[in-house]
Amino acid sequence: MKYSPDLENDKSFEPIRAVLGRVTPPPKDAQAWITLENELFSKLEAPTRRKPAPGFAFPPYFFKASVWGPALGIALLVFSLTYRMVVPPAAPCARALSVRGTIVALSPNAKRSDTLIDLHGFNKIPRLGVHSSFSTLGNSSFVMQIDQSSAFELSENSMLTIKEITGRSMVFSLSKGSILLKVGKRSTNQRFLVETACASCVVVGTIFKVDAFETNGRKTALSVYEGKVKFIAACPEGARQAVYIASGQTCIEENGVFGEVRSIAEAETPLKNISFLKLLLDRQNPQSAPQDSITAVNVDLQKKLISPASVGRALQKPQRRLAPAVVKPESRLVAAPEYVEAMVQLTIGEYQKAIGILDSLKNTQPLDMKSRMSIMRKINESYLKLGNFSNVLGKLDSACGRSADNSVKEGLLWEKANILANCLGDYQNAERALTELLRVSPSGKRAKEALVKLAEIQYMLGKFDCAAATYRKFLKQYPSDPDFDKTLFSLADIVDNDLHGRQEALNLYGRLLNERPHSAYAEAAQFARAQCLIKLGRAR
Amino acid sequence: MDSNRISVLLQKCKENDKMAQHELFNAYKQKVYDLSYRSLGGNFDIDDVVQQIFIAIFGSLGQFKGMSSFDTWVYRITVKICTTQLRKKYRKRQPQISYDSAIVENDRGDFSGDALAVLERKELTKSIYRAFNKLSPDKRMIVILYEMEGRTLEEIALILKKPLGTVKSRLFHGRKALKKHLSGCME
Repeated sequence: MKYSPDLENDKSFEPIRAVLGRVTPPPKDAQAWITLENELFSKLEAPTRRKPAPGFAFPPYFFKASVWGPALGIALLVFSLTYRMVVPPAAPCARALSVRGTIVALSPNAKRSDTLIDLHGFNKIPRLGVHSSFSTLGNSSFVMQIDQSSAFELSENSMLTIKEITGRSMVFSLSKGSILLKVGKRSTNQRFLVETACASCVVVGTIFKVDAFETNGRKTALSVYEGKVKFIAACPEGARQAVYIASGQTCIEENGVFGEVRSIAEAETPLKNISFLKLLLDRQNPQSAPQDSITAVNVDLQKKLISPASVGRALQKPQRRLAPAVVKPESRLVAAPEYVEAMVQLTIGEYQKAIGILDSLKNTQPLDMKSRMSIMRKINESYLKLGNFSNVLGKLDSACGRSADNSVKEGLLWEKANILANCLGDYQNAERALTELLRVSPSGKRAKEALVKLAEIQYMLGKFDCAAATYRKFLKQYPSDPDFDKTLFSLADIVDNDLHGRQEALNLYGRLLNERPHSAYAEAAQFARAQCLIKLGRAR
Repeated sequence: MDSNRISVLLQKCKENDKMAQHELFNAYKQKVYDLSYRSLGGNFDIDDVVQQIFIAIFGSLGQFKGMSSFDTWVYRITVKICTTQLRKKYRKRQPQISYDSAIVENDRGDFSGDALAVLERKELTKSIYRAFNKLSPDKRMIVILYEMEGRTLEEIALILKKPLGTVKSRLFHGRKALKKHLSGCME
């Protein structure tokens, strides 16, 4: 743009000129001027340059840039060449272990970020390097293995940047949210550091959690579950204070001031997360790890590699053969943190809590039949450990015999079937009770639940045909039920995996995708349908 | 101070006459102080900058050939040192000192008017220097010399040793940017 030729008569600048005219420096009094004058003339009189010590003088070429420049260059070159030898790079085993929800990962030198969604959409494994950053959105979490024995879990709404990652030093920066770390044994010269905006945590021990509260992490909480962590606060004045937080302790730092170091309450301990991290890391030592944990992780990774997108691409190229999909149905169940938590509760004898968690898991998560049955078995075990139900059953039987009202009978039979199935694991009698219930009250208020329960029990007994028929009956009777998608998926699952009716299963999955495209089971159905297509050997 | 007296003082200063140096300092101290303050704002130690300027003036008096007026020469040195200070600040990326804290240091508590007027003036000054901080040091100096010091375009060209066209262009763009940044506080 060209400047205005009439700058001196530019009227549009008048208001700003008036404002600028009002800026006057604060007046100085006479004393201040005298002080300034004295200081100035004392500086003028002072010798400007210090004389070199007698007997020694630098040679004239010493100060020349032409000498220093190349020397400095050579020194830098030597340093950069030897740096890699002195500081070994990080072990190249860093990889994502689990992704839940939506994660935004920015790899080093990447021009744009990758968005990773949960298992099925996960087809890019992010690189872990300097300036890698990971952001989790709501209801998301991300577990990443750092080296042979270390991993971290980034909770929802968190942001982590990797500032340094070498064999000798690892520095993570947590901008917001929460991170749980499991750090393996390290030698004394290996540094592991997590920074927030105002604090740093130097690892001396193994398992700890850092929370960065508020914007820019001005408040940091550190909880240590194993070992010891040095908690360093950067004070506003630039000084640094540090405290050691031992195992089982927690401390909050805010604006450079440490709060009271207190013990971690049992309720605050994220047992499930710790167990989850341990479980994932156990894959490094297959001999010592429980069998299902290895399966979980391996299958997990395989699932990631066989995403629907990659299946679609593979199907367009018939000459390229995909590796056979070996997906164990329990994989997702075992990988679910709720399941791990329930197992922990069972181990410590909290059967009631375990039942609650398993029951909610069974009803809320989109699981396949085998997983649901596995949960039912666990619930039965828990109930059996809680007490004896034979007395209750006797009372229910006598009440049922006396009652003439069908609705009352329906309730009693429902209770009986539940106790038989859930508490005693007596599926034969439970099936009889439910069949009786459906005969007595085929359109009662319990009929819908009874049909689903009956199908599940028949499946447990290995009567796959009967289970499929019961599900079909349910679908026919209740086409607008909210559980329609779950039932349809279960039916398709039985037809596909147990009755081996691939074509029918394909149609059922297709029906689910057409009729309930936004269902929680849609994604799983899409994946299963792709697998069906592979098994049928269809190119398209 | 007339030009003859200045010539005499300069001659004496070159001969290291302390009395002449004191007189020269007293003659120019207010101009140098005002220009330094207007150029740098309250975020700098103005006394220190003024000392630096006078050290430079007395140190390089021998190089003054009398091709321009002594006023212009003093302005040139002041502008040069103030620009260096600004550039240093940008280069070092020093944390922005809040104007409030800085003005307390430079404020000798002698602002005329009542408390409200003082507060208003402080706010205004703060807004202006926030806008100035968004200009490049060159544009900033030209706008200050023209709009606040009342120098003509030709004088500014002489002070900065830049062509007149360059000065005009920078003034135009500096004004435009300043207008844009100050539009909020003018409403």
